[in-house]
Amino acid sequence: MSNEKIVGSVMVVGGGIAGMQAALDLANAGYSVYLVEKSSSIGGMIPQLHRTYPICICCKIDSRGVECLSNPNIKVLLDSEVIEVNGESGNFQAVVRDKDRTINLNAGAIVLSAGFEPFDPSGYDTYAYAQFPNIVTSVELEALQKPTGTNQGILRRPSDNKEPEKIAWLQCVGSRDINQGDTGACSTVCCMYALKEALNIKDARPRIEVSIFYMDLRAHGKGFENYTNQALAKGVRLIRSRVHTIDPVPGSDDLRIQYGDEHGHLQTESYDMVVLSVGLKPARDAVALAEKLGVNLDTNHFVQTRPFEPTTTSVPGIFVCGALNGPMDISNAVTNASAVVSQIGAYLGPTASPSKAKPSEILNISAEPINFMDVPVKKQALVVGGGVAGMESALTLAKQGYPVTIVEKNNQLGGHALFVSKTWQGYCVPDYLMRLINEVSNHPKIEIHLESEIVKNSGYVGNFKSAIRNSQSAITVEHGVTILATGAEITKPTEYLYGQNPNVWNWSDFDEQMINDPGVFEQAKTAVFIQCVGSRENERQYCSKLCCSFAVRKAIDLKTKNPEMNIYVLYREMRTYGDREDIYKQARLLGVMFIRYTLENKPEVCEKDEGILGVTIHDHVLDLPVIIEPDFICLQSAIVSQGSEKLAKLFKVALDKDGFFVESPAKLKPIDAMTEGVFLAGMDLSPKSIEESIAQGQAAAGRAMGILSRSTIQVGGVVAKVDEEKCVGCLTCVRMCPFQVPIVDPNQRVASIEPGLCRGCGICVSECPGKAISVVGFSDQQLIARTESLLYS
Amino acid sequence: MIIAEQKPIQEIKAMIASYQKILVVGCGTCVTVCMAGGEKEVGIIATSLRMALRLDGKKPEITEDCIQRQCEWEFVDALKDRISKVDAILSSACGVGVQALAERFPDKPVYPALNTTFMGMPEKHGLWIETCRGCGSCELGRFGGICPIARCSKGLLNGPCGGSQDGKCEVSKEMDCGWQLIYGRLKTLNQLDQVEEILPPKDWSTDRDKGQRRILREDVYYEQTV
Amino acid sequence: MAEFEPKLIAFCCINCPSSSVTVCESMGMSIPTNVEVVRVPCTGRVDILHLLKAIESGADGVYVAGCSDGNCQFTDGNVKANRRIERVKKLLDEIGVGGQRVEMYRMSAAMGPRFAEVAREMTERVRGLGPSPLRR
Repeated sequence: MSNEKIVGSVMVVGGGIAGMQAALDLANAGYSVYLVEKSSSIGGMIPQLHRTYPICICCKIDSRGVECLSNPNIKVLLDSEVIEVNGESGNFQAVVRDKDRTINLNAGAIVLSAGFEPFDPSGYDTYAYAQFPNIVTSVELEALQKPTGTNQGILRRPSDNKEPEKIAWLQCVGSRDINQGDTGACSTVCCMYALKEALNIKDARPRIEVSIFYMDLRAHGKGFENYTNQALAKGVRLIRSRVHTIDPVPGSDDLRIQYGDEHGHLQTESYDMVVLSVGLKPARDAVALAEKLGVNLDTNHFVQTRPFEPTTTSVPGIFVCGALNGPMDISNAVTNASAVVSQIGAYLGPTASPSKAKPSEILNISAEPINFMDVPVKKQALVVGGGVAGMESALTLAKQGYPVTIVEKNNQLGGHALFVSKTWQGYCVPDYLMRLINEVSNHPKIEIHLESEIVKNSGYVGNFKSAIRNSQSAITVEHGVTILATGAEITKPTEYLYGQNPNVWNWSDFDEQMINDPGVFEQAKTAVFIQCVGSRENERQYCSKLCCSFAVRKAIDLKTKNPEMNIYVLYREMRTYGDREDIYKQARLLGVMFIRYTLENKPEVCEKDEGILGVTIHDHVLDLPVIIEPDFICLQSAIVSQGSEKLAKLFKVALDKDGFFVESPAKLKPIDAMTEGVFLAGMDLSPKSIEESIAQGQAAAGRAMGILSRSTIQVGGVVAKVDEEKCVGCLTCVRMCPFQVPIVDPNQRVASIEPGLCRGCGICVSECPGKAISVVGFSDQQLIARTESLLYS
Repeated sequence: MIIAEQKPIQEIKAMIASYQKILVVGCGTCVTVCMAGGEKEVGIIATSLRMALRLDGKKPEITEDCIQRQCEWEFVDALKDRISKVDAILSSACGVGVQALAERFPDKPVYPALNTTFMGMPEKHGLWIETCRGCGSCELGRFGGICPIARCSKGLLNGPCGGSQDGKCEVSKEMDCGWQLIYGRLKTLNQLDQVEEILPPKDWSTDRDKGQRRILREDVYYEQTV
Repeated sequence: MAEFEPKLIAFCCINCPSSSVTVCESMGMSIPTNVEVVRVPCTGRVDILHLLKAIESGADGVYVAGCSDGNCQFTDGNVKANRRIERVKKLLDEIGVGGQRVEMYRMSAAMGPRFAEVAREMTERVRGLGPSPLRR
C-alpha cells in the first residue's frame, strides 16, 4: 500500500441520526462516504419512538434516510459490520462484512457513531422486570404507544390487554447507579422522555393517572422547562423518590410501589403498569470496535474525547459523535455530527462539490415545472462574535482555506470564557483560550474587526453582503454564509445582599477572582453556593444549565485545596447531567453538603454585626431550619440573552420569548437559523457550557461547509413573486411573512420578495388583499383548477 | 386612510337579489389596504353571493373587477364596457367610490358592499382605530398631536371628564382615554402648560354644518373638456 | 336507497399530514375514496377563496389538514390557515350552506393513522349534514 493520503473518503460507522447527519453533511461538503450500519435499515433509535420532545421531529426522519440512500456521495452498507481496520490516520483500510460478502474499503477518516443501547433491567431483581409482564421499559412503552404498533396506538398493558388507568415511571434505571446499573453517569434524556411519554398519554386519554418517580428533574435544555411546566399543568404528577422495590398486588396483575415521600413517610400506591426509564449505555458492538481501534474510553465506557475537542478521540483520524460520545438528546447528536464533519474537513482538507438541486418534496406536487437559477457562491464566511463559539467556527473554516471575517463588539477576542478558570472536568480554560486566540489572530485567512458591529445585511444564501462599522470606518464584506455567535449576558443578582456585602459574589466575578487570586477563597472556613438565582422563576422560566456543574466544580477545587472548609450548595434540582454526575458524586464524597430548597422556601441571607453573613435554609431531610455563617457566598445568577433584536432583524432570525435565537422551524436543524445560510452557535441560542459552545461553533462550520464547498447555489423554484402593477404597498406581506422576507422600500412603494430568501410557503399569497402575489406552482388559478378537476371528474 | 367594513352577505344579497347580471367592483386604494374591498375581498363577496343566490333558486351572473381608485373619473370610466353589459353594480369601495360609480353610470343601479366607517389607521395588523374626524380646522398642534375630537368619546377640548380610569375611557374599557394620551404626550414634550389654557367654544363652521364642503384651488384647477 | 356518499376536498400540507398519509398506507389503512386531496406547500397557502370555490364547485365538505401546534415548518402557517377557516365557517353559515362543512384538522406525523381517521370523521359529519344544498 502506498502512504499517499486519501483525501475525501470517510467511513461512518452507525446509521442512527448522528451517523446520518454526519454522512449527509460530509457528502454535501463533497466527501465520499461509506455509511456502515449493522441492522437492515438506517434511522437508529428514532423510528422506534412515539414522538420526540420538545417538538416532534418524527416526520423528518424518513426523509433524512431517503436523502442518505439517494445521495450519490454516500454508499450505505446495510447489515454490515466492521471486521478489521488497518493503516493510520489519512489512510485507513477497513474490512466490512455484510450478509454474504466482504468489502475492503479505504478511508481518510473514521467516524464512530454507532450510538447507544437501552439499559437491560433484567438483572435488576428488586424491580422484577423479568417477572411481571406489566413492568415494561420506556422503549417498550414507546412501541406500545405507537399508532403503527400492535394496538394501533391504544395503550394496553401486556398481561391482560386492559387499558391502564394508573401508570408510574421509575427514573434512573441503569443511570446514576453504580450498584445495579454499573454506571455513575446520568443518561441526560430520561427525565424529558418520561415527561414526554406521560404527556402524550395525558393528551390521548386525560383520565389516565401518570406519576413519575424521580431524583432530580433534569430539564436543562432549551425549551425543556416550559415543556415540564406544560406537563405539570396537564396533570402529570412528579414524585421525588427513589423507589426500592416493585411488588405484585396479590390476586391481580397490578403492581404495588412503596416509597418514602419528601417528609420521610412511607406511602403505598398501586399501579396498572410500571415503566422503567432505562438509561443509555454505549452500544456493545460500538465499544468493541472502539477498543479494537485503540480508542480510549471514559469511566462510563463511552468514547473519550480530548479536552476542548468534543468530537476528537485519542486516535488521530478517528472521530466520534452522537450518544457513543456520551448520553445526549437528538438535537445534540445532530450538532455533534455536524461538528465532526467540520473537524474532518479541517483534517482532510477542502473538497469542491458541484451545485446541487434543492431537494424538496414540494417539487413533485407543483402544478408546473420549476426552474432554478445557478448563482455563484461567495466562498467566504462572516462570523459575528469573537467568543469561543465564534472563534472555533472561524478557525475551522479558515483551516479549510475559506476566508473568514470576525466581527467582535468588544476590544478583544475571548468573550465570557475570559473570566472562566476551569471547565467542569477541571480543564484549564485560560490556557486553551490563549492558544485559540493566538491561532485565530495569526491565521492568514482570518480578518478580525474589534469594537465593530454589523449595521447592514442584504442578500441570501451564498451571496450575502454586510456592512461593518467601527468608530473610524465602515466597510462592506461579501460572504456566502453567516455564523451568529454573539453570546449571552450574566445577570447581576438583585437579592441575597448582592452589592451590599462584599463577601457576596456573583459567580462570574468569583471565577475571575479564582483565576487571579484564589487565595481569597481558599482560606475560608465556610462557603455557600446558591443556585438558580434568577433562573427558573418569575419571567425567566428556563434553566441556565451550566451553574450546577460550575458550583460542583468550584466546591471540589476549594475542598481539595482546603479539606477543612465547610461548603454548602443550596440547590433546587441538581442538574449534573451526563458525565457531570461523576463530579457531583466526587463532591459528596469529599464532604460538600448539598441542601435542596424550594421556591416557597428560598434561603434567606442576612448581615450580622461587622458584616458577618448568615444564611438560613430549611433542610428538607431534617425538616428544620439550618443556619450557616459563611465567609463568602457565591450566587449562580441567570444567563440571559444580550438583547439581540437588532441583529435578529438584520439577519432575519427569530428570537424566542426569552430573547435567544431560534433555530430553523424546518426541524432537525439545531444549528441552522430560519434564514438559509445563517447558522447559530453558542450562548446566543441558549445557556451552555464551553465544550457545548465549542461543539456548536464547529457544527456551524460543518453546516457552512455544505454551502461554501459549492461553486454555485440554486435560487428560485417555488418562490413568491410580486406583481408590481397590482401591489399597493399595504405591508400585509411584510407583516405576515414568518421569515421577514418581503420588503416595501419607501422609494419603490411596492413590495419586493428576494427569491434567494423566499421559502415558498405561500402565506403572503393567501394574505395579500390585492392579490398581487403568486407563488410558482401554487397560484390561485392552479389550486382552484385542481380542486375543480377533482370535483368534476 | 378611509377604513371600511364589509356588510353581511345577507344584507348585500337582499339589495341585489332582483338582478340577473351583477358586476362587483373593488377599489385598489384605501379599502384594499384595510382589507375590506380589494381584489381578494371582491372574489370572496362574489363567490359568497353566487352561492347564497343559488340557494334561493337563482342563477345570477356575477362578474368581478377591481380598479385602482373608484374616486377618480378616469379609472371609473375604464369600466364603461363591462358595466354596459350588467344590470347592477355592487361597489366594494368606500361611499365616495359608490357615489362616483352612481354619478358616472346614471342608468345603472349601484349598491354598497361596505360600510364606510372612519378615517384612521391600523393600530396593529387587523385592528383599525379612528384618529381623525375631518372637522376642517385642525387643532392637533394644541394637543400634542393627539386629536380630542376623534379620540375622546365626548370630544372634550378642555381636559378630560371624570370617567377616565387607568388610562381607559369610561365608555369602553377597550378604548384609550384620549385625554390621558394627550396629557402623557404633552408631559413628554414639557408642554403641560398648554392644558391650562382654556379654549373658547370651537368654531364648527368648517365642519359639515354648512352643507357639503368643497375646496377650490385656483392654482391647480383645470376644467376637463373631454 | 343507497347511502349518500359525500364528496370531500382535503387541502393537505406536504409535511406532517402527508407523512400521516404514508403511515396510513404502510399500515394498510385506506383513505376513503370520497376524499380528494389537494397538496399545498403549507396550509398557510390555503386561501379563503380556495375553500369557498371548492364548495361552490360542488364539494359537500372541505377540510384542511395541517401540522400540529408549534410544528409548522413555516412557524405559523397552520395558525394562519385556522383563522381563515374560522371566517369561512361564519361566511358559510351566513350564506346558508353551513359552516360545519368546513374544518381544520391538525396532526403530527407520529399520530399515524390520524389522516385516515380524520377523513372518516369528516365524511361521517358531512354524511350527517346531507348533500351540499348547492347540489340539491
